[in-house]
Amino acid sequence: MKIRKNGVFLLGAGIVLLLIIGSILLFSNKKKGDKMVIGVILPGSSDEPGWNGIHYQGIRDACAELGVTMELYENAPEYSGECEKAVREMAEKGIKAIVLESYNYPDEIEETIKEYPDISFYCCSSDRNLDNYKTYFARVYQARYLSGIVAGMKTKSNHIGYVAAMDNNEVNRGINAFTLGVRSVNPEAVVYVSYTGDWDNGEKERQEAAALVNNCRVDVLAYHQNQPFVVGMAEELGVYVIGYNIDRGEYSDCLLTSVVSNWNMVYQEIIADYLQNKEIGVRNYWIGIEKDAVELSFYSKEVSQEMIDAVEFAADRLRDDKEVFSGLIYDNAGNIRCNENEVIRDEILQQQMNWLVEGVEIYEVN
Amino acid sequence: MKSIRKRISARMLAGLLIFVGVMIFVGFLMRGKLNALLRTHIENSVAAQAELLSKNTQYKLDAEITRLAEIAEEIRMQEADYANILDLYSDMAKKTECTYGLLTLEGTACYGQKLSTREFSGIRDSFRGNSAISYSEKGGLLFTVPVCHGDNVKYVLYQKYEKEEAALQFAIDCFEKKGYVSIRDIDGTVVVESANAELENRTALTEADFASISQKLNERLNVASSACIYQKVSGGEYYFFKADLQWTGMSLVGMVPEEVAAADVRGIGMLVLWVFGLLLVLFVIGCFYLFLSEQKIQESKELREAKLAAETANRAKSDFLANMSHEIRTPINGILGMDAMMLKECKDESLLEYAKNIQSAGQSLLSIINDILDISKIESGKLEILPTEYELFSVLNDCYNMTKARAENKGLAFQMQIDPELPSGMYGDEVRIRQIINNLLSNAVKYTKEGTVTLSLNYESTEDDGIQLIISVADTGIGIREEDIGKLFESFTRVEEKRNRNIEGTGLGLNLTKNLVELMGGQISVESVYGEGSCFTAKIPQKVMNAEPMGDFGKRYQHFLNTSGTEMLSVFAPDAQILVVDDVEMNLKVVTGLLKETGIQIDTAVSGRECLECVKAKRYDIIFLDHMMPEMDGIETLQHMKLITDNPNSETPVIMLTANAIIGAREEYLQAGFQDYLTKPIREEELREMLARYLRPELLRQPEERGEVPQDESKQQKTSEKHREAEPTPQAGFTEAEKAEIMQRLRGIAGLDIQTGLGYCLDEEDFYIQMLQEYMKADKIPDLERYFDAEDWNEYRITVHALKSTSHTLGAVHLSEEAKALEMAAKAGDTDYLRSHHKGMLSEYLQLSGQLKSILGGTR
Repeated sequence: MKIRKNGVFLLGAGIVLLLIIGSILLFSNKKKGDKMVIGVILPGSSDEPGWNGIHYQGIRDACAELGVTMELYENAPEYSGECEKAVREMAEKGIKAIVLESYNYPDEIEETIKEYPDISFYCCSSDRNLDNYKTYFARVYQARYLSGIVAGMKTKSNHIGYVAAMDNNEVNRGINAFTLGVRSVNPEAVVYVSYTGDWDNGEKERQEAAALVNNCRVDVLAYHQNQPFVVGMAEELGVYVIGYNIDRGEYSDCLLTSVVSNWNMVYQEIIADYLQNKEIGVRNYWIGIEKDAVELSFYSKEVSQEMIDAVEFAADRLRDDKEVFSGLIYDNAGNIRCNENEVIRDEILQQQMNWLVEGVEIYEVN
Repeated sequence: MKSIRKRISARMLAGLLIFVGVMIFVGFLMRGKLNALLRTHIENSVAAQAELLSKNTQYKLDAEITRLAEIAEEIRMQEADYANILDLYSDMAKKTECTYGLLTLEGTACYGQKLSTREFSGIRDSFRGNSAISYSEKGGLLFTVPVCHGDNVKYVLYQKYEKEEAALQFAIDCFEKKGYVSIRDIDGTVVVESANAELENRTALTEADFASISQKLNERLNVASSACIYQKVSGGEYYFFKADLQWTGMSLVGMVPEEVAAADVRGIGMLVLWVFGLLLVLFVIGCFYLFLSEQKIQESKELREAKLAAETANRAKSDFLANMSHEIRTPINGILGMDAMMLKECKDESLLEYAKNIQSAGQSLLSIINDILDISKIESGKLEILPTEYELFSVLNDCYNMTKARAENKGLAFQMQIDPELPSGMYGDEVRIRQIINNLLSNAVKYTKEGTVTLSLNYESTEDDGIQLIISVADTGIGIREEDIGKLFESFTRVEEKRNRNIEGTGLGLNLTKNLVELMGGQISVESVYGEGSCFTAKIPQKVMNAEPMGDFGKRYQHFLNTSGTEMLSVFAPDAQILVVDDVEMNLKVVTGLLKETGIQIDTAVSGRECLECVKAKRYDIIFLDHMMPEMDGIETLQHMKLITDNPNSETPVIMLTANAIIGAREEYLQAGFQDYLTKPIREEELREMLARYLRPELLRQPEERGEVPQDESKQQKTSEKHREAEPTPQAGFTEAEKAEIMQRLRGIAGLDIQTGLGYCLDEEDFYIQMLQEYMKADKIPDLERYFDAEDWNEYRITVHALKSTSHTLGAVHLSEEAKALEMAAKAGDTDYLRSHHKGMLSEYLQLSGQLKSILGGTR
């Protein structure tokens, strides 16, 4: 009897004790995830040679450099719901920073982004007015300006072709910067632009490239597409070509040089800032040549030393304080877009590039 | 007991310690939790302060930029006039020691000092159209805004503060200058800091710790515009905080010592600590209290159990004593009853002497038994003091009579020193007072070899009409050793056993006396000089009923002797009719013998059934009914009697005859409907008192009338049995010669022990012969045969029981034993034994009755 009474007593005391300790521990549980992890969501495969591969490598290198772990979620096609699923999985794992590698993602998952205010989202381009969302991009137009110098000096026909994906701020900014580069060394040259209306359409791109060469006497091609189909066409047609986001690889010397965004540097900037929280409030990232975020990655044998020197000179000025869109600039309708001693503001570059500079001709297939 | 308590307390102590340990552990957990809560609270409040501070600073910076933007707008409107405008502002700004400048795209300054784009990153930002603040160690703090021309930026306007000036202009402070705060630019360079910068240097804010602190702060800044974190670093405990300065890219970073930030809430922790400590102390006290009370409960439980066990044992003892007394009183009943008859009828002087001795020995045996009974009553708490009104003189008279003879026999002088002022009438338990005095006196006589025994009686008046009766008995006896006085009043204890072994006594007397005195609210004490004598003094409170002084005892005693004589209560009631019922015929004879002189007509019955028949037939004045009878006992008989319709005896008092002196029996009898009870052995005096009390007064005649009423033996004693009525008892039917012859022949019968038989018949041959005749007549053979054949073992048992008793009384010992064996077998249901022995017993019985018939039958 006594023993049983004692037993019950001890059991009760034990339960009370456990409850007390349990509740105390429950209330004081710590936040997990001390180690820094960056989530990355790719629309395609990480070993693809174009956009996906480049971004993947860039962020991978940046993470290695800064000792940060990368959590990768690849092959999440836009508007398939995969992206949202990826975000939720990462949130579950306590990841506090996620890089979205497609400008369409923010449209797709805007509500989800709002759902996780303590996670920072990053995406190139595509502005959104959200506290936990930041835009980053490189000032690629600076590299296009430099590649324009090469093209302007190389052309003999003074006809240069440009296969462009879309008629939008980003693409037009590239066309304008390229053209300004061309005409800075060759004021007589004309840039023929053909819009494919598609980021990734090899056949169309090749057709457009061929049309430009055949119909416009173009002898140097440039392009703004996800993949280098234009380079292959140029090689077939025996014309020079300026690459975009590609290595020299197995290409012939027709590939004069390539415009490259140094994503590694971009991501390093973003991640380092994230780690130290130096990010600048509502301001977004637009990193340029002064931080080695963009460059011309190589020169083929077809690029003379004179050309290289000219490029380097211009690059130095850009690094210093020269702006691409400064000084007297006319559009191709004859209007002055910028006066001598003036600079076109970033705001206009980002949001109002609905015009093309003097020297650009739109080529329409029909 | 002790070890159990030790074990219990060790266990309790261990439990207590564990609990205290647990409480302390919980206390520590709580303390941690409380500290964490307080820290969170402080962090939040510091973060809020930081945000406020950052907004303040932000506001200042915004104001600068806004003012600068206004100037830029002015310049845009009047581009040509920029020099004048800036001159004006520069003049105004002299007080604040800032300078203005206007930079062109070429890197030249069209107004003011030329600045390097590399030194101030803000210039390029502004050329791209943004307002900016940048800082250089050398150059100081620079505010830049773009100056547009149309949509495009043409100049950048700046306002520059030297480093020292900036520190003055944007001085910040926090926590009443006890904390440290700094504005840092995008690279972490300190732009402005508070006066107590040494606080920062004292700690490792910029060192390795900062990385982790900064990371934690940044994590929090993701979701808030300011953050704070508590951290212990080598320099002490601090709250570090950080707040964004919005678009400027700068931030506010600072720290505040723990004691400063926690100043307000520091008391809370202390208060909680105190409260908890107090609770702990209360808890421990509570535990001790519980522990003690549990122990008490345990103890009282043990005590209760022990008490219960003791009570049970005691009850067993008193039951044993009471039963013993019953067993002993039954034979004394016979002895004293027969002796009384001897004393009455015997004319032989020497036999009378023997009878007197028997009476005296029997009386003292009875008194011992009574003592034992009293003790058992006292111990079971059932002895009651029954106060009545009494005459003190009569008590003293009795005591004197009782002791005087004994004292004189021993050659002792007996003195009475009675205070003549004593009130004559008192209210109290007369019987017990008498018992106390007698006990003390008999003790004194017992232990005194020569000299005097003195009984003194005094009194003290008490407040309430009563007196304190002081009884003291002094002797010149052997005295009591000092160390033995304490033992004197214990039960069954006799002091100096060796020396006093020739003095008879049970050791109960003094204990009983003390108990009685105390029951009556008095006290008893003893003074003694060893070898010279003792004096016992009892003080008993009594109420006074008659305050008239008693007067001199000696004179009153003399007077009493002269007037009253020693005559017993005399009852003479020849018209009265009583019924006596007892299964033992001897008892019937005793009663009949004792009442011979009263002239009362007595009917007797030997069983309850017979009794009922008598009751139905005739009206009696008193019925004496024995308790213990076979077949139907006294109580059952009375119950049946009450159920009889048209009972002529419905008003007749019924008195219980009982040898059962068990405590509480009286109440039981009265409750069962008896008017009174009479204990056996029946004393003549008591019997007469009963008659006097319960006979209707008109039946009582004066003794003088005795002669007038003829004494008719046959009328006086009638038996209820018809054959007895038909054949009057031939009590005096034999001549001496015939008697001698009969006795001679009886002695010749084998299996009949005449001596035993005579022993049961007062040694009177007449009586014995009479009994034998009755025995002969009550032939049980037909009954026995019938019951045996019918296998009615119950009736058989009762019949054989009667045979057993009667045979034994007459000295037919062997037959009686055989009958007894058969009775047992019938009771046990042992039919085999019955079948094998029934015939043998019957033939012996037949043979005996045949022989008796040939001897006695022939004489009639």
